[in-house]
Amino acid sequence: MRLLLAAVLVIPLGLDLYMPVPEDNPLTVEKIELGRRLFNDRRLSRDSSVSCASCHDPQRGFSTAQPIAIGVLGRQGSRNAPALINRGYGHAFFWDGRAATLEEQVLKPIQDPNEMDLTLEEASARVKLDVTALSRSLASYIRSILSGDSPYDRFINGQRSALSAEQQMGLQLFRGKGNCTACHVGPNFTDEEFHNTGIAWRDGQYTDEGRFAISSIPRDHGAFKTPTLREVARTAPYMHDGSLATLEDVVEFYSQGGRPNPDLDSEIRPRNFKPEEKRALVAFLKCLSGKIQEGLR
Amino acid sequence: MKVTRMWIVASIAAALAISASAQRTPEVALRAAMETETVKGDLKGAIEQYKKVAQSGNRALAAQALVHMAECYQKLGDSEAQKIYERVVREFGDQKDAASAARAHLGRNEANATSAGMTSRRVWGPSPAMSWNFLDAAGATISGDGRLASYNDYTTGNLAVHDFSTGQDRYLTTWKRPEQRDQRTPYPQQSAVSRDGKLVAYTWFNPQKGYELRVTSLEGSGMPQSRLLLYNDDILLLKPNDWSPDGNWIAVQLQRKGGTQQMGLVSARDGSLRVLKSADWQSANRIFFSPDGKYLGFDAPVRQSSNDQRDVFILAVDGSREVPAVTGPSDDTMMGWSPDGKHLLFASDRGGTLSLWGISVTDGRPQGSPVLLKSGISRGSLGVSNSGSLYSGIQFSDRDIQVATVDFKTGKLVSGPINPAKSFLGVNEYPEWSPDGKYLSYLSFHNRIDCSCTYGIPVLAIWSPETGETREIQPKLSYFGVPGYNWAPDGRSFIVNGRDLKNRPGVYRLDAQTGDATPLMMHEPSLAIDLPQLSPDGKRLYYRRNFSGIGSAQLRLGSADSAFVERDLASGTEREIIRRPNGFPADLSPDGRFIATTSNDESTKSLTLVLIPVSGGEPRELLRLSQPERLFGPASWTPDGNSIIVEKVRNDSLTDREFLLVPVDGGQPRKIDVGPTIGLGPVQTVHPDGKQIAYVVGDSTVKQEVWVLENFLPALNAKK
Repeated sequence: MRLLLAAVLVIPLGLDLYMPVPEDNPLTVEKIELGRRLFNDRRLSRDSSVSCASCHDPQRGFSTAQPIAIGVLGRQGSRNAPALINRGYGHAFFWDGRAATLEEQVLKPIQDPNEMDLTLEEASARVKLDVTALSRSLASYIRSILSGDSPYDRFINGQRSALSAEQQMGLQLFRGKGNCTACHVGPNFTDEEFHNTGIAWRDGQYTDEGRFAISSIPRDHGAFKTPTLREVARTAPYMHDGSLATLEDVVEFYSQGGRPNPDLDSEIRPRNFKPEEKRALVAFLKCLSGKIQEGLR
Repeated sequence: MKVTRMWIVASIAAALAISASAQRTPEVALRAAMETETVKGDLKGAIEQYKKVAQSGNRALAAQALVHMAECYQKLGDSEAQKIYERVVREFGDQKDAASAARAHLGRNEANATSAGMTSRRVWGPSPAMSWNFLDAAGATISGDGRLASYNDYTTGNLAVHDFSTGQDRYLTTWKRPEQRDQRTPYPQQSAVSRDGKLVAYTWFNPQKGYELRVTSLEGSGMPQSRLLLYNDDILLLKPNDWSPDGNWIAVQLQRKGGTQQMGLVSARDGSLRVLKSADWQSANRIFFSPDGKYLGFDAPVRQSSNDQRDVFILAVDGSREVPAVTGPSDDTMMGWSPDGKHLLFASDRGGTLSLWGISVTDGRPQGSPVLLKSGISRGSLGVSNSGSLYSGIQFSDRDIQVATVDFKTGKLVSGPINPAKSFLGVNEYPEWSPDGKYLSYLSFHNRIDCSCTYGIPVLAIWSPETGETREIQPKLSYFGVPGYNWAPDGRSFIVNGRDLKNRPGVYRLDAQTGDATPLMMHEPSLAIDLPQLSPDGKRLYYRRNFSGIGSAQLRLGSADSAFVERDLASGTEREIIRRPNGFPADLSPDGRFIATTSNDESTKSLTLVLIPVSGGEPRELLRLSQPERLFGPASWTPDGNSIIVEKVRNDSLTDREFLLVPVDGGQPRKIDVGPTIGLGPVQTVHPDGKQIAYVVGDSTVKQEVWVLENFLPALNAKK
């Protein structure tokens, strides 16, 4: 079933009809189209070498193959560029949730010295838009990036042949023994919360404090936002630091119970998957790839 | 006005009595603010001064300042006054004068409303809750003319409609009584009648298949044929909540097998599902269409990580927007809409007691501040009729704990009994002594009083005989399974079967201080588990398990195959100890070596109490009763493990009951004389000192009624 959101976007099968959109930034065709052009506009970086799309490649589920994002002048950031799939349904942005809205989020990479390295004034002057229009247009475009109508969506809506037997076994494991739905829940496969899986724990210390740097809450040490699993097969490498190259690596990581550390999330425990279970989980994750739509396309 | 004047005089007097020393700056500031208000007449200036005092950290002065500030707002005609009075009641209950003054202001508002001619009357009941039930279902609605409501008749297992105008009931299904069903028998669950009173949507649960949404017509006089609207194998739970005014859509809540909760619309024409909004794990209590059909009003938990606070929202049915209608630290429940759609009604504890409130709504957005309409209302709304009458259900019971000292050798009462509960009387059951005997816990069903929770999460009350104080904890669960919660051997936690706040079924260890739930074992949603107990060393878990995928209610009704299972917590390996054809009771001995249970022998029309060795071996008969005598239990071992206390019922009507002490060495059973009791499964518990017994007395039946609140619209409109 495909339905219209405010007569602008087509919501694919599997996603909620309601998408939270700020009252002061309603979706319009014009803003989405402008945002799309800005998203691909290299003028928004200091040396005009990169655009948003450089690290959020539409062909890769709006993510990048680089473990760590590379910005202007070859500068390297500190984290993997997250996939921008279905972010219109999000409640917290960036791996550490430091932005509460998409309107706030879209401006930060422009200003980050390791990403695009412009002041907002410079960016505004280059594209001849005030900062508010820049922010609202980019946010509107990102809200238009949607993925649904995957084999999984068709399966849970009654098309029993949409998943193979192995994928169905993977779904059972995902919901049952794997306890994956403790965090990867809902149509977008994320609780939008922050969890310590141990991925940032190396040699007895955190390589990245994660959410703690924002919240100062002790239990947030090494915690990162649960990413969506939509289109996950296209968005390797994985985790906030891109340290796991394949889905097989990810499943193995969780099978072993993450990486033990003082703040490990209580939901993360060894699952000891059998080889066929690991294969089934990977097969299931691959069926979360559907049709990506962006802009008005 | 009298209350206000007295309050001002008292406050000024208090303030004048205070010297303006350096340490008393807030007091001086309060006096200055009062002068600004009363002498200069500068209300806005005074408000700013009161705000500073309210932030001073001195609770007494802050409470006074807030009340004065609210009075200033009130004089200015600003609705902020109401919020501040509510805040004082809510947050400053320890400041009695200020809280009293705030309540007086709030109460005056309510009195104004009552004087407008509001009336409340009972239209159905009292009836036993098990014979019909609107309230568990959270899906029942009334027809627009206020004449019909659909319900699930548990006594016959059928879907029915009740006609409030004639008092007549009409069955919409022909099915078997619950005790006649086997574990594969489908049965109806939640339902909703359409606004025009012509159709009923209901869920039909098939234990082998899952939930179907069906619709049946009320036209004609015979047994109607139902029509399948929606079936989806991925849907674990499904509830119809309300019909759109034009009858084209049914608002539903559903839970996916992965745990995701969703709110959506089902087409009454073709059964297509339109998912409007998903939540992670917790869902709405009530959903009602606005009279123009454009919006859904619903309540939802503020946080997915707790179950103690809900807000109310308005969601456009085309998904274009959602607007918070009622927010704040109070617990709010959607109750309905005024017939003209200009007001949304909600139940809230924001004023200190659970009350009905209204808020103006224009174009799907709230306007102004909520208005108090009536105190003392339940959250069990069935909706508002076209004429503006609010129908709501209430539950009530008369069950309380008694603690008595008994000479178990003679069976005679030595002292007592006493009731440990000092509040929430009539809703207390399932007493359990802690292993060290320092505490008596019991379940207090606060939710029964206000119908606050769909599936009824009781409060765990922990009473100290030494101090006489009772501490309450709110279990952090979305479902609390009774019977059979137990203290863990460590005395610091309870063992409970239920669902955590992520809706995952399992057996949990519940922290006796915080209510936090930690899983001991998780299981598939289709399994029914109850009576969880730990071995004395805490290494093994024992529980009763049903294998057919039906609920605990059917277990209690004795219609399911079930087994008593031992699970090694370290390895997760399980061993079935006994399996019986119905929901037999089972209780582990204090040393963990025996299970006491009953055996029903149809050939001799008798029932036996037997001991079964946990490690294997032949059962040993302790007691045999012939019909009509029967047992409720075995409920409790004595702490020394030498005897079992059971409740014997001597007649079919279950009214003639007594406790029996049955020695396990084969000695003669003897009566324990504590007076009348009621049978509700494990209802008695013996103190580790072997002298005190706690048990339940009262009426074994929870009752419910439907009430209608009429003529509240004039009060609502008068406050615009």
